[in-house]
Amino acid sequence: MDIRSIELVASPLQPYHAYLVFAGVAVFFIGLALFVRAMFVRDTHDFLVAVRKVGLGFAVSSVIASWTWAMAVMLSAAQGYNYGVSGIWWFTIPNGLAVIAVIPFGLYLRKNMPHGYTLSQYIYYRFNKNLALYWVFIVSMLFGCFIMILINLKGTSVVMSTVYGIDYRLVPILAGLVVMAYVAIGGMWNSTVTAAIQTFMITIPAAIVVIAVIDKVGGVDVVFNGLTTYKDPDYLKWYDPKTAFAFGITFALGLFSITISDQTFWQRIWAVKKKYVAASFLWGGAWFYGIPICIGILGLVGGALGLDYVNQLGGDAAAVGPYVVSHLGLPVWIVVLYTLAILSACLSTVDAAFMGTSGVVSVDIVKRLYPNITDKKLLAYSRLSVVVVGVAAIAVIFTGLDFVTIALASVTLKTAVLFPLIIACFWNRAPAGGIFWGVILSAVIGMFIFVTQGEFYGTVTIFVLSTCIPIIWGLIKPEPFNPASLREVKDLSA
Amino acid sequence: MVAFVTILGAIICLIGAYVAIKALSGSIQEVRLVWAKKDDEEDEIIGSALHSTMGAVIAGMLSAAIVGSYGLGPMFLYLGPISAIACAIGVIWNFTTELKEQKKSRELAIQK
Repeated sequence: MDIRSIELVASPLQPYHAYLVFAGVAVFFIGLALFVRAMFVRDTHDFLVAVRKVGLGFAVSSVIASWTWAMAVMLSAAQGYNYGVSGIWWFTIPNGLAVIAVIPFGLYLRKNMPHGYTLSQYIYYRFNKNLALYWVFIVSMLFGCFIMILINLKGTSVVMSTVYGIDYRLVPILAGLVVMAYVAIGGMWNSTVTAAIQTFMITIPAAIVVIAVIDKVGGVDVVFNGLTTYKDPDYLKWYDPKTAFAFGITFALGLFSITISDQTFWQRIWAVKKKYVAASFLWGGAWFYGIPICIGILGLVGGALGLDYVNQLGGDAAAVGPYVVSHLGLPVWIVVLYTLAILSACLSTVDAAFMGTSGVVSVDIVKRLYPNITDKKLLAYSRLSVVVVGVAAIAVIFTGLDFVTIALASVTLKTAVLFPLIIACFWNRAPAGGIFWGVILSAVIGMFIFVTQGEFYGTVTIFVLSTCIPIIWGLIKPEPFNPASLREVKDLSA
Repeated sequence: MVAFVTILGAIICLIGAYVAIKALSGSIQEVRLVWAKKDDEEDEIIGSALHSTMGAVIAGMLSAAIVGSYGLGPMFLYLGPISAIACAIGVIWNFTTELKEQKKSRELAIQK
């Protein structure tokens, strides 16, 4: 059977189905959040880092769910569609490793700064309360969380509008409101508990949907024959060098910067029970692999089907997954299952980003400016920051930027912070000035190169400058530091 | 095939829900002990960068092999859904580890 003889049909779902899905998700997760708040949240310390008692199961699923962005679920299929097997390969392999790479930082932080909350707080105490550097990292953390929210709300918008025909502008509002509500209510405990649910809502539906898609098009033989018949032989190679240079290398570097220099993961480092820090990120990264490995197949099916990039995917390769699932004539429940998986992936990440924002705002801004603020007011600010950032993100979505462009631009910028942070953690002579100018100059010059010469050269420039400036500065004018001093940092509740 | 995977998936979800609810219940008790200042255990850090590196290498290589196999033959495409199911089972295993640890902590708290 020829896969291209399959007749594609319109999605059977209507906008009102989307409203029902959102309503069901809202009732369930907000109800859960109210329970979690009653059981677990008394003060800001509970809200932000769950009393530092998140166990292994919740920690692992929290890592998986928060790392399973719209990127993992949709971009794996998108790159599979664009580049074939090598696209899935370059997307997937660095993704899991980027999570596991957090472990040395986790071990270092829980040993040396056991009562921390944010990455920027670490920088404040690491560099002798240098305010300029502190604010660079505060802005970087807030920017990183904001981009994460934007990308994932945008991703949800693509899926829901493709599958349900709902106005894409409504989706960020509905999804954003749901997450804002349950995060503001339940905090980190709620984040980890919903993550456990969302992990199962992502993985099992992903397996069922991909099997259903393969079955619907006639089986794995039909898919494979379609790929060998209609696509270039390089499409089936995992080692195509074109893919590496087109997006693989810069993407891989950017992924490491998202996990290592990102507040959402650092906050989890401090929320997990100390004994499980390493295991949480090791298993989180290892189990995560199953998701893009599975979902990426939808991109191969889209390639075999010969979907038109402009007319059928609307000029956005990220739509290939939703399009394939919703236009093959699959049973409605399969299509709904897929959207639940995507929704879970997106919401869990937005949830983590809201928590990261809340941490930075309350610990690094509000508490720093008003050290005598009552905990009740601080908790209120923690919750308010979620709402403010959520509303801002929804407003920005309406600009209609291309999904893949947003993702690649954000990872490139965060690379400017990555190597200075590594140097700060593991070189006790790193100078504050070197770190500061390394981040600033690499970001400014690197972005200029990115825009004028392309992302590969832009990313390499950022990497080189952000590494060399702090190291050369530190060799000339080192600033010795004793990590034991980080133990002076106290809990908010202390 | 779809029916089989669906039933299997439903069973895994039910088991996952059970262990997660048990773990949640245990977490509630642990938090109560912390609030009552009856939990003053300072956990030891477990794990090293070396073990983690080895784990990363194994996970990365296995995943690379699975994805790379997609271009070798049609049957390898089934490894994708199998990997996703393995992820869910892996998380359940992590929860059972947590449940054992919570049981130990409860016994210690009772002894105190």
